[in-house]
Amino acid sequence: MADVSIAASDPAITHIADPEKRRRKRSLREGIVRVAVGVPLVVVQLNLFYDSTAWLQVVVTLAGFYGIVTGLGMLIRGIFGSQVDPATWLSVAWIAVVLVFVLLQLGGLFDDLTADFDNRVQPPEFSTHEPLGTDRVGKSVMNQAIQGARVSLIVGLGSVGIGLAVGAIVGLVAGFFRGPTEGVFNILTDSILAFPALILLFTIVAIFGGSVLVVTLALSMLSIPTMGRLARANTLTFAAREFVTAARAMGASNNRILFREIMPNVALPLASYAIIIVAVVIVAEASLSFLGVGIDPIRTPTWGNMISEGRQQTVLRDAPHIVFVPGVLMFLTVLSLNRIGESLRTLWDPREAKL
Amino acid sequence: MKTIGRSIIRLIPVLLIVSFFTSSYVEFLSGDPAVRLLGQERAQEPGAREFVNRELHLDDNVVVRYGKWLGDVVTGDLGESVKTPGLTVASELKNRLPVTLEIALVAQIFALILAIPLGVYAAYRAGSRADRTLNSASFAAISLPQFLVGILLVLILFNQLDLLPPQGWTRLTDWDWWDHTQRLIMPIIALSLTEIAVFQRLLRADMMATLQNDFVLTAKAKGMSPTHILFRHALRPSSFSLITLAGVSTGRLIGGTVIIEVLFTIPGVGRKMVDSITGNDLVMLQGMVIVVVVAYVLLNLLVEITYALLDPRIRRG
Repeated sequence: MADVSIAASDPAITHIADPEKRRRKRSLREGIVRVAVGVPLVVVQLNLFYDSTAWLQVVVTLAGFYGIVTGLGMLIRGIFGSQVDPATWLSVAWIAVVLVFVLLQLGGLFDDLTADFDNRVQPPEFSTHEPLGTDRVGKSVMNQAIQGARVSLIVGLGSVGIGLAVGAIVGLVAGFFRGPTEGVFNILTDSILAFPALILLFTIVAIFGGSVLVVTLALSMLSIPTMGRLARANTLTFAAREFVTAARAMGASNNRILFREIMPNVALPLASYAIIIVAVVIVAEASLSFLGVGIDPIRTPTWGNMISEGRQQTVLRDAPHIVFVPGVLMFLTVLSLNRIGESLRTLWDPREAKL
Repeated sequence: MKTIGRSIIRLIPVLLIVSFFTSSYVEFLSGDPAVRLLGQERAQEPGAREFVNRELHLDDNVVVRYGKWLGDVVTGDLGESVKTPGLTVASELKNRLPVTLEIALVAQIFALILAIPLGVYAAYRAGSRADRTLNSASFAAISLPQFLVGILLVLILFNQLDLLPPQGWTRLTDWDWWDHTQRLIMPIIALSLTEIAVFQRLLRADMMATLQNDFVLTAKAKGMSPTHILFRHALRPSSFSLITLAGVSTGRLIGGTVIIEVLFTIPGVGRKMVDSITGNDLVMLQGMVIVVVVAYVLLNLLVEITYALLDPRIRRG
């Protein structure tokens, strides 16, 4: 006891004696160093992408990114203490950045997609007004990428939103009433999931045409059975729990049990899976566009359309940034969504928590 | 046996619904099917309209048409391309299915060969720096779409280092093994990266649970080497969910091969399906989709049966 009171009265001793504080300080210092080394590496390399030894530059860029990401993680640890998970918070921050850009875009910024033949295939140059370069007809890669982000988010959130709403209700009802309802539910979900996902998607798009609405609805066809099955499985476990029996003993109606007792419990784990499915859907939409059977590339730039255009052999050789910009954006977005969904799942899913 | 019987019975309505949907593409087409499928000019040619009507059974109502189509399919007649008269779906499948199957199977085997040691090692050294690195790497790999991996490989291995051909295919029957292998490398890596990551994570989780068991402790106490314990004692009880997943994901791989075949211009089923869509070749698309889907459904059944045979608890239940 005596030691503690002495230590607390002397600021210099507290400072040394508190290991958590020391760790934070070291973490902060190391984080600043890593970010300070990483940022110039990336900036310099992105501007020198056109030399013959580009694979070396890819390595250097990756090293720079590694420095920035781990450095930011350490900064987070340094500021908020070692119990927070920096990867998850970095993911949240990235999604927030994407959302801000999408909102700005919806507000009318980054709208300009006019072709400018005098400035074709410009490499990224941070000092110019086209920091991410231009494509084959001189359209701004940055503006296309931001509009692509808008489409990806609309398609992803829209289709999973539909999937979550419809799937949850259908799954709840099937898992709660069992019997023939469940049988029909099983046959229908089995039938939809019997198609390899991509094949179902492009047949639907082939029939109804590639608009944002059709692609969103087609993708919701995939998330409805997935969400429905998860909802049903969770309903089954909760329907057997004591609080449901208790509610029934008190004379609660089926509706009340289903929507007031079971649904709140099923909603959280379902939401955490939904975030992961948003990531899957974003990749699926990009895959469709990549195959040339997705959203019409002339009217709507998407990440997949940009990648599909940039992968042509001559373009890839002369202007790899046309593939890299949307590719990196998509990778980071999908990675972040997966990370956030995974963290929420360990937090919310009762079956996961047992392990 | 009861489980197996039940899952076979469950399949019948699924197959009916799936085939009905596949056969009814033409229902959803807007406008005159002959014009939509053949184009304005060819639809005017004598006999063209009759050909489309005959191929698609357009003169009957939906149910009769489905019945006729199903009858044709069951007897092995998958129809004929409306774009290239004389080209049957069956002959295209005979040419292309082996290519797709080869890519999918090699990718799957490659993934398992890499993922099993990685997963076992990660479980054995759980929490170590190597385990954490593997964990982040596999998480990143899961988030990396196949076409991006493929483009990255082309950029590095062809454009930068000029080691491998960027696209194209040599048939196995040409007996040019060296060229064949070279052309296989990039598609296989692009296709199996995600699988490796998924398998590795799953095996690690199951293996860690197995390593908690008393028989592992006993084996350790008897002085057995870690390798022997891991691979001879612990691997088998840890591999049930891996087997299921490997089977199920072969279906996902069929979707993946579509992308890889388009990216590397490989003459497989997936590329033909995409070509049929862009070329409005409906009969070709229907025929290929129904074969792939039925194969996928049967494969899942096979996985279920294997699983039941391996795990006595399910076999009896």
